[in-house]
Amino acid sequence: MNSASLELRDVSVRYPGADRSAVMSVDLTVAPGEFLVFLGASGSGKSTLLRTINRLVVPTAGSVCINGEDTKERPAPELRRGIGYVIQAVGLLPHLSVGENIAIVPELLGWEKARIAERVDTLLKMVRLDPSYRTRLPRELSGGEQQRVGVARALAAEPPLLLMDEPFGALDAIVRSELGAEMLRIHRDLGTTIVFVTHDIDEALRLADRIAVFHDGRLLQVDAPLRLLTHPADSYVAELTDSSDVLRRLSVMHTADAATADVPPGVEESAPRIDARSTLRDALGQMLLTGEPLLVVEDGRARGVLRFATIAAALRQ
Amino acid sequence: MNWLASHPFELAELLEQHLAIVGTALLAALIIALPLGYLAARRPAATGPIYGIFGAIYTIPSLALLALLVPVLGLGFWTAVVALAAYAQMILIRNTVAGFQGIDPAQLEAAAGLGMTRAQQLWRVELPLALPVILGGVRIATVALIAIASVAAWINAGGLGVLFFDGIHRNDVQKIVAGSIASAALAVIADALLRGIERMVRT
Repeated sequence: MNSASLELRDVSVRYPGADRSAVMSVDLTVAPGEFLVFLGASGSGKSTLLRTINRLVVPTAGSVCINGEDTKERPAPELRRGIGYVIQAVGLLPHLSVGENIAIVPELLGWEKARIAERVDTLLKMVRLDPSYRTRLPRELSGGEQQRVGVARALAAEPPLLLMDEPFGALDAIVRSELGAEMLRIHRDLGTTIVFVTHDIDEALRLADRIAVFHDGRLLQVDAPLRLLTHPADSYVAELTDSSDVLRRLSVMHTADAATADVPPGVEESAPRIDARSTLRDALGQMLLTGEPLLVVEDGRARGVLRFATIAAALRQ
Repeated sequence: MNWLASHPFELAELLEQHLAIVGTALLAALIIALPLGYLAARRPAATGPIYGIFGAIYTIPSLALLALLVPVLGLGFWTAVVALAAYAQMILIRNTVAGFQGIDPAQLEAAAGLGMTRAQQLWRVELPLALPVILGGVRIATVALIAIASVAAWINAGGLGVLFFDGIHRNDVQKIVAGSIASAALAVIADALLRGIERMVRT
């Protein structure tokens, strides 16, 4: 798998003329292949910290290491060619076709023409755009399609690390969750380490392996989504994540985790079924409608049974 | 019209001189205006002084500017070129600034974030995106210089202006009319040509 580790050591950023630091002494380690989300309100320093990773912002203090190598050891353009970067405003170059936009980094790296052409085809497929899009201009595409190209462009040279700065923030809710699902699939397929900035708690919960919560330039907590909701580090995290919201908590738990292992005779034939990867929130909704227990199924095989009581027990754990 | 038809060779020579003055002045002006315009667009501190200086030059009447330059540079072609180049500055700088400032910051951020060097950002992103607006400035400046270049004949730099001055001295209306038509036609043709190029670049 092509994935990098990332280590932020005591990173601070203070912009010239500002009366307080935008980022204050952040320590953070990201494991290879992890999907880490930076969550925080605007002005929390999450974007600034993200931009220190590809040195669009130079830290005032501290260091950033990728695969153990300090990022300041290499010229910034060279460093950036090895890190995918997706921004909210997309920033496709309007005078270049979709294919040419995707080919920018491979071209900077001096790949051969045939290899670039082949790679562009692969990427269009990966982000589910028709091959005919290759010759179209960015302005002919919808916002969601443009960001698909933005993602393809960022992944063009197979970077082991991908930075995404509120990439779907300007898109409507439907397209946003659609593209979020695409990112999860791409992350599963490629294993790329991803650092993803958002202010949307539900987006963070849907995508993250772990969530890092920022406030006023400080890192308050880094934890897996469920742990963040059940054990908020302080009242700010509790409020930001609205952690007392039981339904939200159920939305980050999966049916496989709460189902009883035994399947009583008769249930397997009659009970309505639900996939083991579904959330408990979806399961609860279904159960409220039918009033019946659910059979949890994984790859066509029964895994267990889900009842109101088992969901309640899982919540109390 | 009669004069134009009966003196094709003289007309061709004057036209050639006219175009040489305008072309050279334009080229020199671009070499100065492009970097200055880029600087003014990217460094707000430089914008005021640059606009101030070239805005002031722009307000000097063309005859007066030539009169001021003659004691320094003498008579002839190069003096006319210097005067015209100074005139074109304001138009070219203004459009260069507008061209560079009109670029979406997200595109610059993306270009840097993808790993382009400063030079690559300039050549592959900023210049191509600013080019249509800069060319608009070149067109306006060209038309303006074609008109103003007539005055160059007054300092022995030649060009279509020779017809005006000859016509005035000898009270020859035909020559004045011929000069006007030729210079207007030249401006119209240049405008159309450059519009065409602008349209090609825009797509």
